[in-house]
Amino acid sequence: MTRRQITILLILFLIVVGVIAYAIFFRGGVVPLEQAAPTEQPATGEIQGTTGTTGTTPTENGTAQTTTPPTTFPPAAGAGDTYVLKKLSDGPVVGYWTSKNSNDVYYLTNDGYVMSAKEGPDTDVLKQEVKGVMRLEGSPSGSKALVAFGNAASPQWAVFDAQDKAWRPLPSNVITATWGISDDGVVATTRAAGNNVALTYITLSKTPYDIKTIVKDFRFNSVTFAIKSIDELYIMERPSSLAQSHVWLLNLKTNALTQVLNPANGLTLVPGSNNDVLFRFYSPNNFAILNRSLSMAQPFPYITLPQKCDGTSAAAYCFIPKNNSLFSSGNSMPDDYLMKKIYTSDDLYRLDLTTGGDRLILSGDSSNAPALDAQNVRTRGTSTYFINRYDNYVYAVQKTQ
Amino acid sequence: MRQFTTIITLALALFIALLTSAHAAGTPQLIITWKANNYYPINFEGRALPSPTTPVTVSVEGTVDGKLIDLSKTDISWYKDGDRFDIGTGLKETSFNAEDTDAGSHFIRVAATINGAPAEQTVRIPVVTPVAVLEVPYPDKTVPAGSVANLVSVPYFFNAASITDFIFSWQIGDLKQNTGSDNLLAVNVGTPYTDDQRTVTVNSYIQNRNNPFEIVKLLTEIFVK
Repeated sequence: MTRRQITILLILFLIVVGVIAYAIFFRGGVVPLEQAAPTEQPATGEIQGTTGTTGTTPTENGTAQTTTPPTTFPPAAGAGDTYVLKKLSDGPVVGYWTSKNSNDVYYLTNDGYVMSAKEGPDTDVLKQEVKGVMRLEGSPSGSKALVAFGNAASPQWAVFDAQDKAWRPLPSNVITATWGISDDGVVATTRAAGNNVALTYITLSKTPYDIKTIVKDFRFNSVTFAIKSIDELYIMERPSSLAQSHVWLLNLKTNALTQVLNPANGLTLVPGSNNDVLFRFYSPNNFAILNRSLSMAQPFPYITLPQKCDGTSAAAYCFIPKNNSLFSSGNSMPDDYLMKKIYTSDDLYRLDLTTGGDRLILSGDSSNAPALDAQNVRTRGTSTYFINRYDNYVYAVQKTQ
Repeated sequence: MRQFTTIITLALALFIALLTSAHAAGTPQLIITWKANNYYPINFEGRALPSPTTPVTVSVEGTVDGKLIDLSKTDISWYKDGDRFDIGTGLKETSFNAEDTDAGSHFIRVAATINGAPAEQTVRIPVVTPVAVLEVPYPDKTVPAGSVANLVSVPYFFNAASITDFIFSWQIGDLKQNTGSDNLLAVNVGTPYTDDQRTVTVNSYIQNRNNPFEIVKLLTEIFVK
């Protein structure tokens, strides 16, 4: 062989070695799912008058609605800022949502009436009964709400438009749904031909709805969904301290499915309202605030549950149980909290996600506030909204000028 | 020159073969998810767990190169605690009834061959006894003296379809209360005279009308201040 031929052979050999290396290392995108790299670090009769009577209210959301004047609690002083707690709704609610543009707060009563929370008596938006509300999710702009109601085994889904003041049902074959990236559509699982379950995108602005199939047969049980971006959907297994849960990210264009957190018992991931910050918990007491890439945003020295937090890329707001032993001895978290075996008494903290500094904003069960067990927390501007599990009213913590 | 051409041809064949195999031999992965088909409140955000006799639905999805794939033509085998209990082409979903096991859980395995490569996945599914919860919506279960405390008895993981399938009964201290379908108890809390009277013991019972063996008793102490 000539020198030239040897050179060509050598080049070919190097190409072959290169292809082998590519196949072994770079196609390692196919790492087994279980090994996907974690991206996150780090009366007794003796008592006078103690008697019991059984009632007839099978709901879990408190007693009958009563109209009360709005309550404002004395301001709580933070370092430099003053915050005030307001009871916004006139009665117990099953869910609420807030408008991004107008800061209007809407809520559903136990009867399913839509009300608008106002200074003074709240106003009826639509007095039409909707029974058995099991889920309510405000749209990205807050002008609409997606609601599941009726029979738990086969719920009905509908969208309420606060501007039109009207309900618009989703197709009857919708099993579960979540908002897309805008108010224009929802991502839904639907019953399809051949007993299949399809993952679909339903465009609400079209009449009739435009339904586009993303995955023809899509079988994920006991999961919830949350949109991350126009093309990405979080799929999250419901949590239990007794079973491993997983969180995946599905690319809606390519159908690529990536496990994005290590599976863990009690694993819960709750995206903040604008997806810039996410809140993660796993049993028994591991809480973290994550950024958009699911790395730790800032260390947070307190333990709480993701349902008690919201925030932006600038700051996170979390209600923290005063008694953190709830997360240890004898309790199973998050199960005991989700089953309402446990009620917490919370303080509200603000975590600056740039500096990492945290600050007490409001102390519950104090001269400034009643006992607070906050859930469904949403921040809008300088206000933090939540439902207090002790009375199921909507409250707001607002920064005073 | 002929020898050189042969070597070049072989090298190119090897190159193409490697390229093709690198493309086709993505590792298949299986993903199992499951759900317990029993009773829990409609707004419960946690995972429902099976109790003995609960029908459990198990489903599988597959990925190759990290992308969801069509399993409709794939032979899929399902195993429970080591024994195969179902098999079929495109059988992405099946179910079984949970049993009271010594291990307190079932191990489910699914196996399939995808593009000639075997794949399998396992999952542990805990089996629990039905749970009764008494909701006491007061901080530290402490109720103001002289007030009316509203308590709610809530069943979880019973093998029932709706709240109307349950019988609720109560005992406050030594006093037996009504038995019926109401799960709300309003307790008129008096004014305690002694420290002993500051603790109220509430026994609540939940029974499945359709299964007399599914009955759970729960003792809860509430405090009067």
